[in-house]
Amino acid sequence: MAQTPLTATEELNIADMQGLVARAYGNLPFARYVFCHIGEPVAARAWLAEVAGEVFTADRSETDDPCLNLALTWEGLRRLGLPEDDLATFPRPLQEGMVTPHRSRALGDFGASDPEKWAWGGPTEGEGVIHVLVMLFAKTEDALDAEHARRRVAYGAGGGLTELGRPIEGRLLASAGQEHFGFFDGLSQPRMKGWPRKQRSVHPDVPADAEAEAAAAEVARFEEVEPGEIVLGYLDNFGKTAEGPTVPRSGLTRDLRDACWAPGRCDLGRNGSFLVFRQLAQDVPAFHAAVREASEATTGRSLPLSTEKVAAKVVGRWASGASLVQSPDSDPGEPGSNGFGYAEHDLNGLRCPIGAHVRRTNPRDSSEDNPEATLDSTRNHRILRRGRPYGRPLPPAASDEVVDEADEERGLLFLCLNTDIERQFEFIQHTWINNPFFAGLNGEIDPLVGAHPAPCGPFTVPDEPVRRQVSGMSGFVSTRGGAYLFLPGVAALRYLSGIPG
Amino acid sequence: MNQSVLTIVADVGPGREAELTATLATIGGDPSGNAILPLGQFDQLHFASLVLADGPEVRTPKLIFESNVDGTTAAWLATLSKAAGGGLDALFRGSPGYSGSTDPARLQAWLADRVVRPGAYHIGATGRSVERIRQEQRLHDQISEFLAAEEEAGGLRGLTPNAVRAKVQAFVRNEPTLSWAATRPPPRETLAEKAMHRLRAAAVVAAAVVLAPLLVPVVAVGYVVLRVKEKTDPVRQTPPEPAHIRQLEATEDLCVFEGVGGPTLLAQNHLSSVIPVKPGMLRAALLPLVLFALNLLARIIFTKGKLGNIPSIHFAHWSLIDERRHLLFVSNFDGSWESYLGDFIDKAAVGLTAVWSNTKEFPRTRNLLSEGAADGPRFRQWARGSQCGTNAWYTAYPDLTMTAIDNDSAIREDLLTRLDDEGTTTWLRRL
Repeated sequence: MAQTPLTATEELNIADMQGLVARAYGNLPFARYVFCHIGEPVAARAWLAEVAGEVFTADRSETDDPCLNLALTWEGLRRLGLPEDDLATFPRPLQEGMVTPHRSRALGDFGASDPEKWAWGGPTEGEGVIHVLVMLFAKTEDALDAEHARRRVAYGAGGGLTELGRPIEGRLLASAGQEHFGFFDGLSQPRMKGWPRKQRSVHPDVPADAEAEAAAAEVARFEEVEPGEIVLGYLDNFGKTAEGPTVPRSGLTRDLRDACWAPGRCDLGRNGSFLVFRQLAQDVPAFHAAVREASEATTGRSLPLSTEKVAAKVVGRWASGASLVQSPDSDPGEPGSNGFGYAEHDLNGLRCPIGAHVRRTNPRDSSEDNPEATLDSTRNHRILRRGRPYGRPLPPAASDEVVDEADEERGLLFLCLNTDIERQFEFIQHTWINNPFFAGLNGEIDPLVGAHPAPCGPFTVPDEPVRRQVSGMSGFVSTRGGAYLFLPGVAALRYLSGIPG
Repeated sequence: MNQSVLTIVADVGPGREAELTATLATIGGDPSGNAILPLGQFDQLHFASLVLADGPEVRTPKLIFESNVDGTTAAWLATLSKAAGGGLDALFRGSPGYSGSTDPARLQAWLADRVVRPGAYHIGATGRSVERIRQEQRLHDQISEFLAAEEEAGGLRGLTPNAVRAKVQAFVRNEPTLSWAATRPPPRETLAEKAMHRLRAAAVVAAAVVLAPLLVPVVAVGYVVLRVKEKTDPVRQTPPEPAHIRQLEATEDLCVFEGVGGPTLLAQNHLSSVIPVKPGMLRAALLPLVLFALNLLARIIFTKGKLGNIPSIHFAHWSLIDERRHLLFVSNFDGSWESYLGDFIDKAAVGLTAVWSNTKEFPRTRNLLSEGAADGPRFRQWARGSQCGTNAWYTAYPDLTMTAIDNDSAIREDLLTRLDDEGTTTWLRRL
């Protein structure tokens, strides 16, 4: 294909993107994440050739049929037969993986989250290195089982792929969109500019009048990013092509674009993305107990706080997802608009604390000096989240099952897409979540998901006449596994299935 | 209180690198209390670093000793030579032409010859000594403890902001360990200093106006040459070696001390780089000029804790070293390398491009100021590639960011002043 310069208005080739870019498959409550090892590369490539056309793509509309998406680790690409020269074009996080001493420090993977203790993806896997992640989504558990059985026969043929351990089951909770702590999740997502309107998963409704249009524009201000922030091969926020891996031009690269930054090479990354996958265990009883204790500690004080309010201050949103900026006093029961900033109404965090989880992970325009420039900077650190809960929900306190199920593991399968893992996912993790000095705070980390054990002091809740400090807010989330993967576009999958060797 | 930046750059004698690396590792292992050069003994020292620059970018390996102190460079050099003669002698002994010894006077004379003056520098905590920074941190901590105890005892119930403030004031007045806080702190920058910096800038502008008829043709020719060079200068094509980055990361985002539940992250990181200046007369003239202009601006505009719009730099400077063949950059900054570089790209790309585009392999620029550092991915690769490993690094206040230092100072400066209601609310928020 001839080299065409990229332009800002270029149409997104969503037919070449995997469905995960477009949707979290929220209509399919049952998900299975199967970790595989490549036994016979020839057989694995043959399977890939067959399955490349069956991967559910981003251009297709919602379906009740089972869906398949695929991602590969860097080791998996090497095992598949991708030459060293091409492997070297992957960014360092992919090459090194999630577990290095520096990354573990930066990501907060120590103590309870020490990779040595991980269920998967840790340093002691030996033979069982993860090569391929098969993601299956279905309407019912039976449909999921049937789909898995069918796929397993196909990828196991000729010793192509063997499964590593037991797959991880992702389950939407009874109230879809909720996570185990009881909050609505995934409300604030970056939206790619130029994404076809009908495909918009977050705000599908077309504005009807001027007022709605203004509201939509305000939401866009906080959500829109350049497509290259999420999908490789398009312009990113810096006006540059999001550079992914490349391969030499050859007879096999007919369907790949020339890589404008690497002469003689083609863009293997285009329409693909980098997938961060982490299994985050949530200690739900501990969270509820800490919230209760913190609330009780305020009774009889100058300003008592209800448990709901303590929890909302920690998260930065009410259980319904409503923002504390828009609803500072009580939960209105519905999420409301995502088109809000902090600078105008809540610069000092009197409504939503500066260190609250959602404010740390997306500070929006939170800055005294220059809100608009701060918002611009924030846009460079967005990720498209595609996770879902795992494990059975903790039954209500009154239930008999409490004793049995309190110990069962539950949490969030955190999946996100981005094109620059260091600038996006890792930045959020170390500069925002686990930074004891975030935004002028002094010695506290994210009270909800910060490193476990927390290295520092109590959570600050700004208040009048003087701020309060809430202790005990830490240690609710620990990492149980993780990997960095490449989520290729369909043409790239085809290319990978055809590499010689 | 004046602060100074003192940098000593010395060639490393042939065959001495291994020995020196080991010595530096000992210092780096415990920068404050090691037996060779215990930096914790110096009450006036904010930050210090030792870097052995021996990559392909330097002609001969160099040992770079950077320090940021209260007081003048002369006084600091004398103190250093007297109190740390043995350690400095051990570090510099094998340098070509070394004529120092453990004798303070001789050592000082030799070191003085190797002092490199910064072309442009930035100081975040303008006018505040190490002692004052630490005192004000303690003040804030003690007020926090006082408030927690009061809250526990129900002593804050129903109080107005003014009443809370009055309680805090009374606590500080009656607390013997905080007696120093009752006196008014010296201004961060004296009127005389302010006036001097402004006069100097005015003089430069006046000189430029007077000389304009002469300068215009020179600038015009220079501009044409610059545009040609900007299109043809080679830029870095390859990403840095993963092993090089791993070596740099090994000393970044360190945990110094065990906190309540686990390791506590250091507030700051250190970065240094030595980059060859591009050859030719244009760059040789342009680079010092840019640094001079930047330094003027830094003295006038960037005295409130921010460089450009970056709020996270404690001490940073650029110096031309090695007969002006190389540009040294040293910075002590808050947070991770990734966030620092992000700030560079988002908030200070223009100034950084103006400086660094005169050095080798910098990303493609336009009109000296455009593109360059704004090309995020390439600028980050270039910056990583040109960075030196930090062999040893000392910070006097490992748990204080620039923002926290400024906040603590503001608490102290307004502690006993008269404030209106809004001022009181703002002041209470700082706690």
